[in-house]
Amino acid sequence: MLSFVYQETVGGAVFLLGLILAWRAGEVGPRGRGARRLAVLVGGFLLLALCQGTLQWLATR
Amino acid sequence: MAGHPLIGGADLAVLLAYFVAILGAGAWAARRSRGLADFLLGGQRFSWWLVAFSCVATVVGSYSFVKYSAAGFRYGLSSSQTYLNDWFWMPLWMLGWLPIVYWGRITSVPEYFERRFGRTVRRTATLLLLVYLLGYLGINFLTMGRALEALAGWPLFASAGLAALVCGIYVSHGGQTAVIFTDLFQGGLLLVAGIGLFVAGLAAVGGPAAFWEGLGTTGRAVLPPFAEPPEFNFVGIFWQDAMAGGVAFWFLNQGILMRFLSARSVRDARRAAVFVLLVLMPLAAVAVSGAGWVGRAMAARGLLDPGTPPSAIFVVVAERVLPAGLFGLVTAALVAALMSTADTLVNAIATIVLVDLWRPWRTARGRDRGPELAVARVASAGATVLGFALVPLFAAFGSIYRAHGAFTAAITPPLAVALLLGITWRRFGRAGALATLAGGTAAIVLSFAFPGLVAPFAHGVRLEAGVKAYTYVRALYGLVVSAVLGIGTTLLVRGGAESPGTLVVGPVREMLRSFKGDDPRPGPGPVLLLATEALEEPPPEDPWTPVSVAVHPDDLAALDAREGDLLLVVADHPLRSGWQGFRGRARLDAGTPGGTLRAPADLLHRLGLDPGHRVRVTREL
Repeated sequence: MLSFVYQETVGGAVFLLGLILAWRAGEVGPRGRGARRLAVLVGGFLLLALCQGTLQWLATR
Repeated sequence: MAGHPLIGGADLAVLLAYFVAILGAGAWAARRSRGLADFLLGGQRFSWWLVAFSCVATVVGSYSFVKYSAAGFRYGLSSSQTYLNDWFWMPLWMLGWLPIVYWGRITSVPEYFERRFGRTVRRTATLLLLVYLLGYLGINFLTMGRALEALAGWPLFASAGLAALVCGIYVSHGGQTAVIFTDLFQGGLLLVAGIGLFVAGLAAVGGPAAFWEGLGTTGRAVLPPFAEPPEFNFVGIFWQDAMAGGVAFWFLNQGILMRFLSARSVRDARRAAVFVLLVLMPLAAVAVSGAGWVGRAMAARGLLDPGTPPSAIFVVVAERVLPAGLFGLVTAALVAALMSTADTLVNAIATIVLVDLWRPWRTARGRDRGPELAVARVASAGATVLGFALVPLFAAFGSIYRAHGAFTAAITPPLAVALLLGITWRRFGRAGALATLAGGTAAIVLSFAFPGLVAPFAHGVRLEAGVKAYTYVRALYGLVVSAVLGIGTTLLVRGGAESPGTLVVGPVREMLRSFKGDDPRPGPGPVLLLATEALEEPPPEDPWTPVSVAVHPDDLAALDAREGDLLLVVADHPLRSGWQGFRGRARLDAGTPGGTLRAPADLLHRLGLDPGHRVRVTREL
């Protein structure tokens, strides 16, 4: 699982930096369109992480 | 020299039918492509789903079927790593870079570098990008020649020449419009053939349970081991592909930039990116790797020789599990992967020649822009010829793929760092950008002579001899050195001018105002059904200038729009609305009958929206 943890940590930092910049630009936020964009981005991140994490974990069993 | 043909009869007929079909699709699209606006950005008429599906063919690169099937056969599901690791960049790409280029009306990557850092940086970036794109095109034609030589037994240069000829004809005539329509066709073919082969392979191996068992424990992991072996390890591929490669593909690849700029709105471009990354790329990963996974399972169950060369596994599995005719279809998909990457490169090179060489050259001499469409067409044909001329050069390499990987790693990290710092840090200026591009490239070249320079970044990856040393993880070294040079120079050089707000990630209102030329009123507003009517005036030649559309005052009020607002106009049809659409600037006209929208006759005719067609209209900005 080291590969998976490394990917999500470094990749997650890049993802988070992008979100912070987008938040400061007003493109994502807690309400309206900003909230929908935030949900799509975070949802996509979690979906891919969940799929890859599950398959990677199954391979170690 | 011709090889022994693997296909013949029905399969060969299918392959030839593919070439005829692709020329037909290109010709059909070329008839709908008239001006420069169509040639460069497809008239910015395309809906998200058309952009997304046409992207698949570009995402699936020239080597994909052979390369990923080989990796799948040797290592299992971890061959999919590179198809699933681009999402990390999406917040910055979708909400940062895309608005900057789309609303900033930026047609090429070097054009951004000039607006942001000045002419010298633009020239450096143009040179680096052209070298990269032309080299990549030559490798594509060579790969295509090798594939057709092995499959059909045709001589290498004749095969590469045929591919170059077909590609050159439709791109130089139809430009981006032809690229999108042919890539839509080729992308569909890729997915259907690749996934079809995987499904047929599952049945041949004895069903999903037998397949899973046959993959073996290590073959089921979706990520490779951390640092071993040197030729396929997680950490090297992560830095080379997900980090440096991700920026190179999404931010610097002129072909990808133009594909998303051809969307009819930023909203459509964003939807296309989400669909590509969450739906189409996982499917593409299965399509290109599936034969290798099936081959691995077949070998484990004694149905295939485990000593089969990995580079041949795609063809071996396809031949083994598919009936005659269908093997020809899969061969056509293999050729489609090569052609669709080549056509995108040809169009991208033509754009850079026009926007970054021709226009600055004319402007410096105080001349008008001249016959730009003709220049773009000649540049497309010239790029095709030049790419083909490079085939003998690359044919002399023992391992083209590794040489190309090293070549790419030497060019992309400095460009990636310069662009990322440029869009995120206002203070990063000309001196920092030059230090990043020139210093970063020099440092990477130096690392080939002294591989020990990369060792501190190797994460335990073993050192190999010669140019193979640290092939992948060199990207991390390049990124770090380029960033240190860029940041250090910027901090040391005082008094640099800060960038305008529209060229860095920041509040979008200023970008929208610049795009619209007036106070923005972001939509979408209410949707109104109107009938088209012809307006006898020519549509603008500039790809970024919206056409003027006349609307009755009552209809404009119903759209919650004012004169000067930007409107999106699309066909009232679920499928045709994908490409029959355009952006218009609203013009109040009491003489226009209520319930109608008047637009230039030439544009309406070209889009198949001749007078009387019903269109859906909404306010965009």
